[in-house]
Amino acid sequence: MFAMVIETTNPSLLYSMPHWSLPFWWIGTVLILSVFGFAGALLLTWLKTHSAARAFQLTVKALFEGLIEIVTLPAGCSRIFALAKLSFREAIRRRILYVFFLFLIPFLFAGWYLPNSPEGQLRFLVAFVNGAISWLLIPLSVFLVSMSLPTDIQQHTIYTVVTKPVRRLEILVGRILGFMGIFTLVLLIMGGVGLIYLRGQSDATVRQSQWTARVPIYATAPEDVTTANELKLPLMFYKKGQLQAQGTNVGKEWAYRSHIEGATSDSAHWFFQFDPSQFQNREEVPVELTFDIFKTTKGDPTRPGAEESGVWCLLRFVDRKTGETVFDRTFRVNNNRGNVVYVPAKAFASGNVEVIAQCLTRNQFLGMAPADLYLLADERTFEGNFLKGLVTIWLKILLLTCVAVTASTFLKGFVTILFTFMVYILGFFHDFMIGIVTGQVRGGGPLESSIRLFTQNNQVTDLDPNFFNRIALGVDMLLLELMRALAYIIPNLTLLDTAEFVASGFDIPWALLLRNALFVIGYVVPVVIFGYFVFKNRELAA
Amino acid sequence: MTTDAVIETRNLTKVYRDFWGRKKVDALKSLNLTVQRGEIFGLLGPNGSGKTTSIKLLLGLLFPSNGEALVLGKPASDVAKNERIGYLPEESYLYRFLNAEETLDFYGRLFDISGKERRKRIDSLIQQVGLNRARKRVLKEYSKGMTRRIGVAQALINDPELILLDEPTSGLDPLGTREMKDLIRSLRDEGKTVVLCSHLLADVQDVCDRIAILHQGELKELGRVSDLLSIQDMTEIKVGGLSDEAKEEIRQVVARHNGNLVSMGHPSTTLEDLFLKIIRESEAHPGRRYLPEREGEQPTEPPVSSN
Repeated sequence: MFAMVIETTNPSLLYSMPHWSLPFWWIGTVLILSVFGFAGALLLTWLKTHSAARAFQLTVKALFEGLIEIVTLPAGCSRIFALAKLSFREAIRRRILYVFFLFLIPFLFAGWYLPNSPEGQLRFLVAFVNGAISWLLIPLSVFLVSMSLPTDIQQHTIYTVVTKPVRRLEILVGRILGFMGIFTLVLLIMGGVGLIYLRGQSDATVRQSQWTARVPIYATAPEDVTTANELKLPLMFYKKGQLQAQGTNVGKEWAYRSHIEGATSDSAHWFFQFDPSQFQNREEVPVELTFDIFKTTKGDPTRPGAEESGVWCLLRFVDRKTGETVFDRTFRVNNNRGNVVYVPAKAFASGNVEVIAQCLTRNQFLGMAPADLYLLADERTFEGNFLKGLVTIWLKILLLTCVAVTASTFLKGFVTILFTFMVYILGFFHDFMIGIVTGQVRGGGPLESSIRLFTQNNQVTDLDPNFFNRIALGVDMLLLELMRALAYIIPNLTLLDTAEFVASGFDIPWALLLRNALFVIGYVVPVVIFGYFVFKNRELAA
Repeated sequence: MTTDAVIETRNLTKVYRDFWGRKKVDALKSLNLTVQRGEIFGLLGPNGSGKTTSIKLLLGLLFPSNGEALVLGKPASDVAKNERIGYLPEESYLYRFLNAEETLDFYGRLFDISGKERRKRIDSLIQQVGLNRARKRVLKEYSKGMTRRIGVAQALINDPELILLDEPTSGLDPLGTREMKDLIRSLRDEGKTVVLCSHLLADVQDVCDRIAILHQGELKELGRVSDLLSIQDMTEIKVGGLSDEAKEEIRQVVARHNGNLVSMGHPSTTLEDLFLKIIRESEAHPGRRYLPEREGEQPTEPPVSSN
């Protein structure tokens, strides 16, 4: 199975570096949030001191002192190191690493659920190992980090620390570093065990096809070609005499693939632009593809011994500089398992190639998506890719650690645990929340959707404009604004999931990893700074 | 106020409030105090009188509701002052999973003390507090007295100028108490300033140069221990080398006044008596500064107005 489902119209974006304007957007966002934070702090101080002038003076003073402390943070590196070592030691001495043995238990039973097909095997195993690591390490880290600072405050051990020349920011940063040290260690051990386990469990046929990390070149939208309604897309369909965004709709609900009809002039066009020098020293370049076969006749056209009756495809490679067809090949399409076409490297000499696919078999359809056909530029090791996958888990843990440390500056231990898990869970529903507040998800706000639920009202018609419903809609508007704020503050954790790459045998793009790292760093820096200001301005004794 | 003041509080006030900002308790009311360099200063008071609150305010663990506290010339909220301060909390709040060496090493690192110097100080402090045999044992195995000792050692790791001790002798046996008192005196002899708070009056009486007595968050008495404990309306005469005639004469004089003469001078009360007297007086007249029934004596500080 060569395909990885990438539900995007432009898969090559996964491999593109972040836009240069990104840091400026980040700075702008942080500045706006800082203004809100300052206003909030001012309001709280005002309520406490009952004097606007004094509140302003105190808040500005706290802000400046805080900024100085942030800027001079590196000067305290030896103290940060001591605090990090303390957290590390605490985790070790409290024998938290024993959880690691819990991690081993499910491995004994995983074999029971192993799928029969060799294609499914590695996918299952990778998902299993990744899941075992995430589901043990993430709750462990949330529990550990959430309880740490509140325990110090509750048991007053914090007294002997803050009465030393330690800045409060150093306490937070030291803690984060210490915990990340221990989590990194545990992650590496778990990853190592997981990898040995994967090697041992997967059989030879699986290792041959899946124990790899493919580096694909995906189609990109060309500058000079558009569809009839002027869309620039990496994959376009030729139908009824013009290029279109979609092919024939065969009635499948999953709109990922679009179909072309056999034995007609319909065709699918991928546009490739790439640096041709990477293929200079190669004889041929594998082009891997996975098409969906949609039959309108009975029987399995791809069954063994049915070569004549199979679904056939014609693939043509056109050099877009000269307009000549540089290579073509007719082949029988394998459903699901995919095909490989070896194309002479010289066909790609111009670095600007159009690949045209046509279905040759009457009454059958071929379905395809932008990511279904790619040039295989390189293959890297599975182990390296697995490690990259662990980096993503590590980033997720870093994010949750920072959220938990910040929350624990003003919440009690158990509340911090609940809060952090809430962030974690909502993080996976980020798209859904954005969908609700932007109105893309039907059903309205919490009250409206409850009314619809109880009155068994459908989601499409407007609510009966009676008195109660109007009040409910008014309240919903308010609640949706709150949700909007929340939706944009909660991190989108679906971004931090790269297990699918490893499981499908695709190299995790460095660009994706970089973007994930930037996303997490960009998220945790303001979060920790917020926590620092709270921690600095709270009383640690009662 | 002289420039040699190590601690200076001006109208230092702490009000504890609940979540809604309603007043729960006035923990400390307008405290004005000055502690001079090189003295042993004792803060006395019954439980809940504001001793520990005062110490926490001085350390920046609490923020004042009003007024201010200067420690070593810096505001109490300034972290930099901690470089020259040693603090022994009420109970030794230390990390129980560390051993003695690791504990001192951890706190030493927080002061940015170089590795060589750190090892030297750790060694000498462990010797000084007598934990040499237990230096590799984790703190959770320590007895209360041992925990107290390691607590003292961590308070001294930075060779501080000002040492704040919260109940230094609690949990110590008589021998340990004696050692602690000797240690406090030797710290003063090294030129350090010691502020301690305690309700163990005998200890305070032994070591303190000056004391302040707090009750219900108010300062009730402040002065030198020797002055506070002398009884002005009583006379004690102790005489040697008198002839029998002279003795007879004195005896007659005393007998005429129905006295029984042993020695001559101002006898001392115990601090316990003074303390109880002040507390009873304070409870009878809340909010009033204790005024000693002495003639020609003025309190060293102006009385604090009640609010």
